Amino acid sequence: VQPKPYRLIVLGGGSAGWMAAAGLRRLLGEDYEITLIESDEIGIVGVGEATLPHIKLFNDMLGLDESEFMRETGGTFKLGIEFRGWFQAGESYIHPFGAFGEPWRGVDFQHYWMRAKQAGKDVLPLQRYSYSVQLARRDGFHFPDNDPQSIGSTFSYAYHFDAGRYADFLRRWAMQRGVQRIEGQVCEVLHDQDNGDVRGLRLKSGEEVSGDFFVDCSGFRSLLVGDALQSPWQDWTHWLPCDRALAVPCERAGELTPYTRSTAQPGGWIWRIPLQHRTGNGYVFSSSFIEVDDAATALVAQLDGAAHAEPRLLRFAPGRREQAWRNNCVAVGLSSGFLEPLESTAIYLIQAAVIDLARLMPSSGSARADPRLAAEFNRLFGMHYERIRDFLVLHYAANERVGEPLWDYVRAMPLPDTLAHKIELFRARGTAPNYQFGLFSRDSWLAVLEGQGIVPLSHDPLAEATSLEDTADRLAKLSARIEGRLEGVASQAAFLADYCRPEHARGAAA
Amino acid sequence: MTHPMRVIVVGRDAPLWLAAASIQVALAKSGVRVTAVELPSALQPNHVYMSLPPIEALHSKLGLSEEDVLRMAGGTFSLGQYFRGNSEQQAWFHAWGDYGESIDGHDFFDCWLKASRLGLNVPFADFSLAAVAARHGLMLAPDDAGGLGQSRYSYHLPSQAYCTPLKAHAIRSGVAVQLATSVAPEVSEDGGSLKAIAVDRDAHRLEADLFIDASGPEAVLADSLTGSDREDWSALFPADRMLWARAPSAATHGPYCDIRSGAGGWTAMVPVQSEVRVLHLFESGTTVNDQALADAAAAAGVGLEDISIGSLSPGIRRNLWNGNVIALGEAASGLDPIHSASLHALQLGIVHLLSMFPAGPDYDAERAEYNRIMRSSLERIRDFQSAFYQLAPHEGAFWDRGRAASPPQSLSHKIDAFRARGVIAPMEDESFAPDSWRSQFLGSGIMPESWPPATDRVAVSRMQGEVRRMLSSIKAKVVEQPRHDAYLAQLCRRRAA
Repeated sequence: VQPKPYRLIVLGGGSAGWMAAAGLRRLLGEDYEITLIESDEIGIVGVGEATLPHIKLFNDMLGLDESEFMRETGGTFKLGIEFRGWFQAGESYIHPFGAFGEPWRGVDFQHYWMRAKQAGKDVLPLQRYSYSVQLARRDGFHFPDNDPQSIGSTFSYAYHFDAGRYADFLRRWAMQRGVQRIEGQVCEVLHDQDNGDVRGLRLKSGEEVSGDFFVDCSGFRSLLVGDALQSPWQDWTHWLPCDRALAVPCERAGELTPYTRSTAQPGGWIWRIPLQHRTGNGYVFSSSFIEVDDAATALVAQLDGAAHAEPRLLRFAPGRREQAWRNNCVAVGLSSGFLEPLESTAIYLIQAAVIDLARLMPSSGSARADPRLAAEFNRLFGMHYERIRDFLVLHYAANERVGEPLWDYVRAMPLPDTLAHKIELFRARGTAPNYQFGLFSRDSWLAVLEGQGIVPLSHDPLAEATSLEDTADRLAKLSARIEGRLEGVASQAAFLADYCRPEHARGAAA
Repeated sequence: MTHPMRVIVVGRDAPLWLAAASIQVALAKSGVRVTAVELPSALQPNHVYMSLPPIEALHSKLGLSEEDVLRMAGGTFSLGQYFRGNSEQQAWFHAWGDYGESIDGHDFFDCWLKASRLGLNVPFADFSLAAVAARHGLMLAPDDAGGLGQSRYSYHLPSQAYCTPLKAHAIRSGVAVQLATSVAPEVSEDGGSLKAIAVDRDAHRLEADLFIDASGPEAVLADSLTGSDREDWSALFPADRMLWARAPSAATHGPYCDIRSGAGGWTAMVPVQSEVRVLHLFESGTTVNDQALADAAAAAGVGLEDISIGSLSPGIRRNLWNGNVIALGEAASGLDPIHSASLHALQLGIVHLLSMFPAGPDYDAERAEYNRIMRSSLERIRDFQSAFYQLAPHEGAFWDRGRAASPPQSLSHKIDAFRARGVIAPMEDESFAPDSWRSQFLGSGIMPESWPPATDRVAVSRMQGEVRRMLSSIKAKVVEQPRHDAYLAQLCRRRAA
């Protein structure tokens, strides 16, 4: 007897819904039937246009062709994020998706750099010792070198893309592989009377869609996990006071920068995300510190080119659900929580949830979702959110923008203990946090700790096993290798123009 | 240079010499000077240090060659642990290395789980080349074991003999040595740090910037400060006594530790060159010493010589680094001997101390980080060890006591996740790899109720074919491996020549 398929219902389109549908279609067997419900009337938030390098693993898992993907989504390459004015006005640093120097004798690079600097040697700024920062500053791009000895291998890359187009691209991918799509708006959630599980959804059309397991990608509304199942909300506004964003696309102009730009403002910060066909912009701000009209004026004044529309206002609250998985429902994406897009983590959080969910998904024959699996999913979900939260808060807490009320507030606010400890350790000896699971890497922490102007008082004494002269010599050679590799490197604009030609696509080449 | 320059290590035996030499070798060029204050040994001729695989890296950082260590200590290799109970069902091999190979990107364990559900009746350990080799008395040579079951091995090191090359090496590296019959700490007025130590009733007074307590459970320095309380873990671990003995070597022994569980506790037969050392754990409340000796002899199957009995009290010091005193090894934490983790805990302390060695005269941040990471690391070891008792299938008051303890939340979560899906919940600072956890859970009789659904994407025929291929590959490779005793003899001779 053929067992009846296990019915997965994904509620909501957009990047979260289609990433979940496509990812689960790829990872689960044919005994899972996947249906996605989306409404043409409900818009998608669609500001998650900047990503982290992990997205490449997700796309590779689906088997997407990179050139085709970039063409379809108007994608550009991203080597990191530039933070302008975060430490103080006029300062700028890049958080690269790459290393600073190389570890020598098992000791992290920055300790040698600090030691030489503290001893009065003539050293360059830390940013000059990161290949990916320098590649980004030249608006260049190439794929990481295969030879691990090459300094040109010490980075990875992500993308900027049009999130709406990405969702469309994944929709086509998923529907070609059997994911069913229902157009409609949910008006009622139907529960099992005995155990409270969700059994089905009633649509405005009167249609009832029943399922065994539900993935809630309904965005800020959080229809299932938030509304129907009442997973409590943990509010983080006291650490991340921004609660509004204005988003506006504009005409592309100037050099095609291979990085996201984040510029600090009196009431928050402005993002700039260059795509092939337009530039995405937005002002993330705190309604306690700036009026929306003033924010709109500041945003429009900073655009590279003509605005494509009026700025669109989004409201949000920073924080997360206590549990993303309750009963037989898992929230993925904005329905599970929100962190401002300062470090482009929204799409990563979706991806991590999809991968964890595939591993912990109820077996196709099971009668009910196993609370032991939910507990593990929720533990991982909490870890992901809290690690990112600490990293974001760091950008605000360490600032010298004295006299601006928002910045004065975040400089003085009590920090999460886990973050305060990391900052103190860096200040004492320049050691950057290093852990195995979740975001962010040691190099990322280093980039932001140093970039935000925290000056270590000392360095790891193990670095002194190398003499000061040898250290200075190696630093000089390192920067020479970086400069050497950068010679003649193509601009990202030129690289993309070539790479995105249709004949580059795998299918066309055959 | 502004970081602390003078370091005094007070202690005895392997912890003293490993700690002193490691600091000296890593930091001499940074201006650090190390003095080892050597207290009388607490070792008996029947003791043996059991290591975990990472000890090799510590030796090589110090510049100690494997050949020298094994030859001078009379030590042997160990590929893992063979656990046995009263029945065939209660026997399992815990190999240090990995098991099987992934199939089309799917974790081997998940595939094994599904295959077992479909009728495969082959124990998990049979997919470890190391486990199969060890059971046949064969060593898995480090170089030629690519793919299936890379060679990860530990050592069994007769304790007294092991200390000889360690001490010589520490002195050669520049560690200054002060012999002492007793040490008295001179505590600051607020009780929070040490000013100096007085050696042999004030014969010498030694000052330092940092003091390291490697004196074992006596914790001669660490216990003198305020905030020196311990968290007691004895509820999780039923044994409070350990009996050491020597047994003549009747035959050659495989490269593994042979552990038998009986009604009153467990007995480890630990082969070293030329004989077997025996360690028996029991609980003094339910078993008198004579009975324990009889139990140990019965488990070993031979007469035992040179008996000694010591006590143990599992737990952890709340402030591992307190003021200017860092407690290392058993001065810091008492671990149950079941998974040979005590020397490893010492190594963790040394490694993390080196990476958090004070960069200046104020080192609150370093101390906080050291205490955080060591606490987390020791708790993960505690969880792994506690699982052995929590899930033990054996009968008897000793085992009842182990099962009655309520496990730490981090452990019960891990057990639940494994039982439900076969996953090992990933946590930071683990010393035991996922395959070690799986091996132990399976050995304790837990068979997961499901597997990750992605595993179903591998066709059953493909899975069966790969399983057969791995088994025959192991069969072919195992006969190429050298006998453990021959391998050892050749290694020790090569160096001596």
